[in-house]
Amino acid sequence: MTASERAGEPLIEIKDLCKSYGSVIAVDGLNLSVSEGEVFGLLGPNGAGKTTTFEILEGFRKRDAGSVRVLGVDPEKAETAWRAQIGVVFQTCGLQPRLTVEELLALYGGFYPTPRSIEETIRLTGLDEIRRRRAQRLSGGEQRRLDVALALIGNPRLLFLDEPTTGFDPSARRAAWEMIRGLSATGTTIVLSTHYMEEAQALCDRVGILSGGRLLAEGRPEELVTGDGVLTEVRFMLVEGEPKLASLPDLGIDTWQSLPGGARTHTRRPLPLVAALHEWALANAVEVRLLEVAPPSLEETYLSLTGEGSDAK
Amino acid sequence: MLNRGLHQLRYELVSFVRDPAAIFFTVALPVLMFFFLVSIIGPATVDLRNGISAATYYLPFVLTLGVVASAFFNTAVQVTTLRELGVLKRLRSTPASPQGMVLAWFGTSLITSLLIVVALVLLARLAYGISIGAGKLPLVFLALVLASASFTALGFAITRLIPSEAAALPLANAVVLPLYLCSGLLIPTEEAPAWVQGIGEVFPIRNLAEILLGTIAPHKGGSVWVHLLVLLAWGIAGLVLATRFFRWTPAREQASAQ
Repeated sequence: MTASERAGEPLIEIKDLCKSYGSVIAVDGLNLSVSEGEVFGLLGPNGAGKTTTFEILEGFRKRDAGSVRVLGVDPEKAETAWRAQIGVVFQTCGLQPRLTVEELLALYGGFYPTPRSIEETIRLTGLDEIRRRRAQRLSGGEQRRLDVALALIGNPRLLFLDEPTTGFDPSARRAAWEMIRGLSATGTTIVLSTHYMEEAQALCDRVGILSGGRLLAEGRPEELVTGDGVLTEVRFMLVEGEPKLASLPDLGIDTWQSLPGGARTHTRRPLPLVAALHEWALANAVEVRLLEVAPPSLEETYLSLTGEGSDAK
Repeated sequence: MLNRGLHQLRYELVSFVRDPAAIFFTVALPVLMFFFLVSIIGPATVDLRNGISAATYYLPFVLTLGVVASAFFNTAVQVTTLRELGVLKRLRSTPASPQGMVLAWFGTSLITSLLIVVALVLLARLAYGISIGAGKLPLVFLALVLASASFTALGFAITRLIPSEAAALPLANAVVLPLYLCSGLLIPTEEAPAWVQGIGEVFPIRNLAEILLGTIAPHKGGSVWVHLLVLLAWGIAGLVLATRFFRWTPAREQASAQ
């Protein structure tokens, strides 16, 4: 029984974490916790501090301030027994080029006290067809799967996946999702970072949106998209002609944006807006051929929070 | 730790035998050098040591060259390459022990050194009729083990100064080539200025060569134990520096802000 189980504390606990590189602030007062069995996703643009946070959690970087506990231990002081319980997929990381897939799994498996079997690992990651191929002859996607396989070979309790599906084609990504769901079902706690919102929405129990080293929002994906400040998009097209923007109903919305043959806007209260739009169309005798009320997606939430979207404000 | 070391050693050796360039530079090159050096000088004797043959003179020196190539050079270049590829970083994320890794590399160096020694000694015996007396073999073996360990430690230590994969080969050469010359490995230094000989005596390369030369030719004087001690001192220095300053992550990641 480990210290974290005794105290019932979360598997990962980050308090007021700060890290700078010279004058560049990478992580700026981060607070976060991950419980056993969770799939937690860290989202954010490039340079948001995701990889720095991961590397601090994995024991590769020293923090400037704050406290970090992973599996009940400060990663800076972590020892062999701690490393045996975590699996890491780095964003980019090489392999011994002249060893085959099977040899690499045997080599890395040999470092752990209770490794997963090579056969099971190969099956989980779909490496069967290339098991005798040398690492230097693998494609980018195959190498990525081998990265994941090497992180799984130790049968970790906690798995870090830094952009695990970057460079995957859509079918490989689906396969990776299935694998991650399967691992999660066996109780493995997973912390992943991703650029793909649909990936976070599909896999994560909870997500944190990181930008400029700060956590902008945190919660279940469906909580985030229905939270305050998230806007629904309303869009319509006319059968002919352009709508006169000035004559369109105004219900506390920003402004209507002109589209070819139509217009769109964002609102917190889509239903009254649609009703008003209906009245406007009748009163002005215009025929609407398309009306779209798009529910907010995690992507829009993300874009509006990180300020990356120009039209989602 | 020993088990872990042997486990890693196995896969280092597999990697090594699949790397034709590494085999050529560490094993074949010393054999070729010996052959050409002796062929160039021919039957003439090297006057400096009571007229020993060129083959007798060059055998221990080319042996030394081979040990330095496999233990120092190969370790420095390969470990830097693995670091820059991110392999060391990946290893660091596992419970693999650093000591196990060092042991594995020492094992690789020792095995390749032994291969070089066997190849050269056979060549010397069959082609030039030079043999190392059986009584001297324990000393040769002791010197090889100590030198492999010391040069491996120094190979690890110097990786800290090598900023990139591309810089590994030139930088290792820049360290080793002047020392080869000052240590009389290519041209005898018996009549060289005192400072050249002094450099040779301080660094470990000449000391290893002297131990090996003493097993087949009249010894110049100075105890063999002094040479062994110099090797040991360099090994300890290398180990301390490597432990203190070793870097696991690629150099480009050191200051990156992600």
